Amino acid sequence: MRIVIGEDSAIVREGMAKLLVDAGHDIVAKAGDAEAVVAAVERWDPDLLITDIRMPPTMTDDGARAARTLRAQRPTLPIVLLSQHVETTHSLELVTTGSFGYLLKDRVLDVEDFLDALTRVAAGGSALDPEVVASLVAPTRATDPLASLTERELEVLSLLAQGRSNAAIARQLWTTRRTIETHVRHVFAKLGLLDSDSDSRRVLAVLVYLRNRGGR
Amino acid sequence: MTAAPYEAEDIGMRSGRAAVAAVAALGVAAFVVVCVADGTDRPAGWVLALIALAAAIPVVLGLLLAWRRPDLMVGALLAAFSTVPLAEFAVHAWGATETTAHPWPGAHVAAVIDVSGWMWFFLPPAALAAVFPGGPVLSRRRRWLLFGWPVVLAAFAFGVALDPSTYQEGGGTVPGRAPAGVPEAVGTAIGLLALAGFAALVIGSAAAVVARYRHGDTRLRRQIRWLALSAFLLPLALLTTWFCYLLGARSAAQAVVVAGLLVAYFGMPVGTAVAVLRHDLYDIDRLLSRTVSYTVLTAALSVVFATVVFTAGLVLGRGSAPAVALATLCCAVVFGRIRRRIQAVVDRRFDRAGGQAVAEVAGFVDAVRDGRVAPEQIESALRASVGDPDLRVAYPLPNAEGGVFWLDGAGDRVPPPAEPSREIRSGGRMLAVVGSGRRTAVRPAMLAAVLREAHLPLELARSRIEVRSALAETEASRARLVRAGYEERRRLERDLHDGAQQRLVAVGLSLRLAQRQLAPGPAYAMLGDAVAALQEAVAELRRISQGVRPSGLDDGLPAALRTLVRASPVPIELRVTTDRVQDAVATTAYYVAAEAVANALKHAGSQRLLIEVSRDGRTLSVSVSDDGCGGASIVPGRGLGGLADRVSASGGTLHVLSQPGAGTTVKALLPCAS
Repeated sequence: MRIVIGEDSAIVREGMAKLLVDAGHDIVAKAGDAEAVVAAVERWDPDLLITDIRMPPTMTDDGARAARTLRAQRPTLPIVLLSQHVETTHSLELVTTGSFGYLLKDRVLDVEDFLDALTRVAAGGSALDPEVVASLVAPTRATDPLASLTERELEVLSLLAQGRSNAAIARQLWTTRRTIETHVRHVFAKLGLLDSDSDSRRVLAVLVYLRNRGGR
Repeated sequence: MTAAPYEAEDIGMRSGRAAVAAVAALGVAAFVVVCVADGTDRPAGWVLALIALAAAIPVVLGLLLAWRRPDLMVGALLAAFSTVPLAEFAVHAWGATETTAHPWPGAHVAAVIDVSGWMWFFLPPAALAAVFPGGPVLSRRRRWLLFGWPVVLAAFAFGVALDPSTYQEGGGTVPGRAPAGVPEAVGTAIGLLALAGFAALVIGSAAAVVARYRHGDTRLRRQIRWLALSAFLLPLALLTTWFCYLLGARSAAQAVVVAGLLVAYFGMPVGTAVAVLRHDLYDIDRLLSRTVSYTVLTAALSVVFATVVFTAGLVLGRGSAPAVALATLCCAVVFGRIRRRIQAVVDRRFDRAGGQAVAEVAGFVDAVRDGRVAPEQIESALRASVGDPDLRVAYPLPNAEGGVFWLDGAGDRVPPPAEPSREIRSGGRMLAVVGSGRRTAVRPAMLAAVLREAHLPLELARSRIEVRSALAETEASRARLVRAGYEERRRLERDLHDGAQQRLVAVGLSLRLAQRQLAPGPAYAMLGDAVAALQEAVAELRRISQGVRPSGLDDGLPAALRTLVRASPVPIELRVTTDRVQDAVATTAYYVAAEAVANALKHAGSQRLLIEVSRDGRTLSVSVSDDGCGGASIVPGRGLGGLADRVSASGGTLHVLSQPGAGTTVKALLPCAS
């Protein structure tokens, strides 16, 4: 894959680049601030953009804003946002559009999972950090529709929300794909959602629902 | 401008009282001569009475002034307005006896002097103009304006005496002829020189008063305005007269000079009286009111005494000692009671504005004492009482740099009052400064009396404003401390994220890269463990920095509260109906919610919570309700107590409503600018 990295800390940037090169990827550009990220993507048209959220010039959410700008220009550009902490403001909006990942930065250290997430996003899928998902899935209301879900169904939903396929979930939970499909159907039924055969559509539906119960 | 402008010069004439008495006595003597002299054109009885009456007014005024300010000559000069004309009339009457059957001794000389007597009439107005209102004009440079008069008058009389045209033989009025042996030119020359000197005196005096008017301040100008006008008319009338003579219009010339003198004789005493009574010159109004009130008091006591003596005499017999004693006792009892009442009535009559103003302020002081009005309203009370909308009261407070800043009654910053102003002091400390407006600037005595009365509310107002100002400063500094604390937390959070956390991730990456160089074995496993430990450290740091400052606050209060709600193990309903507020307010509101939620979960065993955030104008309301066991209260130094401190430092209030068994509601009201 041809990848552009946006990261203001030089050692993290270089380490990440080396790791990706090791894994057989091609780093076409490394950017230290939001403007450079936009310029690099426009110039190299990469297969994937990995960028930190907190970057110069304002050290707030420049990376996320650059991603949003680029996404508006190139709806199919796969993007993975890296964050120092769990937050949902920037992630939810983009995650519903597919080809998007949102990970805590130290997730890079789980190299295989990280590379797996990159591949998934580049292929049009989604990747949401487990901690973000956990915070979204935590029951927060007495009238919580999730309260009617079984523990197993919640587990499946949580994995689903991370962007994993039914097959991957089945592997992880040591069960068959058919069982997972049943769980998913039940989840959707209990949440009052129409079934759909597209993975990303299902993730999207889950996340729209999660966003709605996130307190807005 | 506290020093009176008429105290500048000591002309060595300390005893103005003796001077005015002498001038008045001279006037009486002259009047007696006019009455007694049996000359050819002796005035009728009613004319004499009128003259006496008209002459009495300047004399009384002069006596009053001299009594008040014995160091000044103005009293004597005012009396001279009567005495000098009377003296001239006396000389005329004396000279008029020459043609009667029984001429008085020296009647011829008097008749000759009478011819030059018209010049005398100019002396009082010119001298008063030169001196009024006190003395600076009598610097050595201008002293001749007074002492030149005897010289000029004598020289003119001498010149006239030598002039043949004075006598009947030369076409004049005085019988006889001019002294022989003296060349006519000598008399003419002396006369002309005297006339020139006379013109210089009149014009110089008028110029002196005009100069003083031009250089004087507002108060002085008001005092001498009318006087200056009449003084200015005098030389004008004189010059016009001479011009008329040159043109040969004798009757017109006489009309002009008489008009000019009338204006001066009427205008200058009136101008003096106005200056004295209206513009506080010499503080005469108090003296006047005291004199009148004691006169009335004496009369009243006399009536009481006489009545009691008479009545008691009927019973006890005439001239009995007990009757007199009883009368004395009655007078003593009555004295104290009626003195104040009479004084008040007289004060209102004679110093209407001043007496009323003091009474009004006294009423205000009573209202302050009863708690009906705030002492800070003293400014408007003073304005109303003295009728001066421009009057200002400002209170000087020390600032941090050792200087002062000025506050008004409302506690707002104001510039220091402009001159003329008066300092109100207490025990050597300046409490307040009262700046005069246009009306009080010219009545300093009245203002002083009013301010004496207003001392208590001024001191009270000052103390209250001082306390309020100090409190406001303390609150502001507390709010600054809180803001600085929030700023510090934000910086710390950034340092954790951008420094330590980044570094740990970078180290982890290096270890991972190193690990990938190795084949699986003990070293490979050790590196894997090291990376796992690093990951835990990063997660730990994330939790710490979240506690230092919730990162969600960067995206506004609602985002931060959503994060809080998600982290909760029990359901929390969140109702937020406000957009962004300032960072400091949002941070405080967040801590209120976080602390209340933590309390509810930890101590109250709550199963459901509700967080409500709404905004009403400039107040942000944050409330957290739970269904726990209740019984919470604000205890200083404990959880809710610390929260209450934080909220009040931000200028807000924290309320805790907690009945045992009925849940708890913690509500904070925070001020926020729009």
